[in-house]
Amino acid sequence: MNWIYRGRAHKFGDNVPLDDGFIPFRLAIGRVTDPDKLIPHLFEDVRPGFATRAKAGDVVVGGADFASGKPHAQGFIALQAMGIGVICQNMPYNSLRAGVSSGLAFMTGCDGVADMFDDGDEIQVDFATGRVQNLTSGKTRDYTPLDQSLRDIIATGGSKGLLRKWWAGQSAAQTVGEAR
Amino acid sequence: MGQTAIEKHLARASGLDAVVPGDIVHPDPELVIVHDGYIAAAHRELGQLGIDRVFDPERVMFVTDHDVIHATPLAAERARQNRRVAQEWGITKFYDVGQGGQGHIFPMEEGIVRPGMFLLCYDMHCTNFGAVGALALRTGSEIITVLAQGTIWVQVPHTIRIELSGRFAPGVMARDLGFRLAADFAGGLYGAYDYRAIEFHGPALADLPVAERIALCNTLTEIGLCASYFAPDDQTARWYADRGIAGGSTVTADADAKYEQTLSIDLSGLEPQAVLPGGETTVPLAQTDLGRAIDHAYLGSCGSGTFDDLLVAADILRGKSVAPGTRFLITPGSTATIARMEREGLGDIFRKAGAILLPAGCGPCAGGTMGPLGPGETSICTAAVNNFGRMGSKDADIFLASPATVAASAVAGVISDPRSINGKG
Repeated sequence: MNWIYRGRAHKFGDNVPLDDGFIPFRLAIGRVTDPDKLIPHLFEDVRPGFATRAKAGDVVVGGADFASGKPHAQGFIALQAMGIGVICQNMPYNSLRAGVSSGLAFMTGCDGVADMFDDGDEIQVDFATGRVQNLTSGKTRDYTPLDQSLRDIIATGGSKGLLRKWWAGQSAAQTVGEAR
Repeated sequence: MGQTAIEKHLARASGLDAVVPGDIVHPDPELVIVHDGYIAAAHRELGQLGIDRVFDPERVMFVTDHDVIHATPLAAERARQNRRVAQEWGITKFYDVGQGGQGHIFPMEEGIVRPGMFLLCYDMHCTNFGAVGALALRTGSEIITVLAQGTIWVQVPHTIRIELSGRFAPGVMARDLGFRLAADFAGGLYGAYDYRAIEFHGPALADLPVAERIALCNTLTEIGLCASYFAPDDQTARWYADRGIAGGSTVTADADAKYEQTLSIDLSGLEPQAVLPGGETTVPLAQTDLGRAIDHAYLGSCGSGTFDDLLVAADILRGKSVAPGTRFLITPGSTATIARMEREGLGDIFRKAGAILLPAGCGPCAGGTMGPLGPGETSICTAAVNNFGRMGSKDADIFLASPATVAASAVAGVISDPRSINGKG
């Protein structure tokens, strides 16, 4: 997995909830998980047109209490599918879990990161080392990346990717055992 | 450096000497509990990945509490799927309809959950188990990882220490303290609370029975705390001894444990509380709509379904009647509590008063699958949450309060202060 994202910064403020912030609640409660059905609705309540403007390599930059509320992963699933990363000042623990589970490249606990950017600035984030760069202004800051064990899960595509890989290993081990 | 009891639990379950907040660990649960609403879904999700078994059928338990009367044909079909899954996976700890009861209560009554245990559970109110000195963490839909692999990543939380002193005034219960604390945390009075664990300490614990501890652990859950914990003591020993159950181990904090913060609360100053409809605001009962007519009252749920809770209500209802125009639904937490209730005469008190006894389980709080509210109706109850639409119509108002307040209100037919009637709270 390529952990370095380079593109445009999409700057959001504090307290952007997952439900009716990242994506309409009706898609979460409808348990829609197909990225193609989710992507057109990304941030439609708070930033109409996001899905048509954003592209792979871009990074969503959030403030405090970002991705709050019930940890519905639909918004993360759509961002992951588009190849867009997330950095923010902080998000609730259950949202962090949903991010890992969705295989999203993201960092949280980045104090003051939203102040580094104006919307549309050129951004580069290395999610493996924690380095965040504003290529427009030249500002650089180093934050703590997600724990290696969590990045390993993200690299397999999230919790289901991890399970799939683990089960393939189990099945292979069993086949070897039977062959003996 | 010393460890909190929460840290010790996680270290022990993860095969480590010590952990600190922020560490990522993979703890090994003694037991994994899945509720009826997610059994078939978990089976389907794992099946889609080709996974056809669970890590250890002996360490997996299925409970049936959200939909215990199969109120719709769809519910009956789902229950049939649950039975099929239990059989296919070889789950012996399968509690079907009519068995066990509310899955966050009866395991402590039957000794399935004992002090010192570490559990991973589907449903968030597994936090109840902190009342007996067990630690249970909620996984939600990630339970499928646990079912397959027997573990999942967990971040070690920060621990907040709360010292309790004094005694509740008559008519005040642990549910009231839980409502107040949850509101004050959510309101920012105490700083960060997301994914924090709470350990209760202090002289008040000597007089705080396990039933009240369950109510307290339960009520603090919804705001996003991950656990509440009471180290096993004489009250815990009494709870199990009363049920003829022995065993368990004791996990306590080190004297030099490092807490994120320590709060001190004097119980004697607390008044009965009410959570206003929608769940955003909690006020002392005296400042709420006292005298407002109610259509529906309901006692039970994972926070207030122990025998002790029913006893408080029975003392208030004895020799009285539920007010005309009010329906009072009572959901005991377990089949064992129903049996004891009948043995000790509480069933008669409730029936004579005109209350409606529902089967053991979650009751109306589980999405209003039974005993729901109609448009424009008002309820006062001990449910876990009261967002609009939780128990039927979105146009109904649900107040949350303690068992004493709910029972007093059911008798009066209006929201009432339990201190104003002749009953002990």
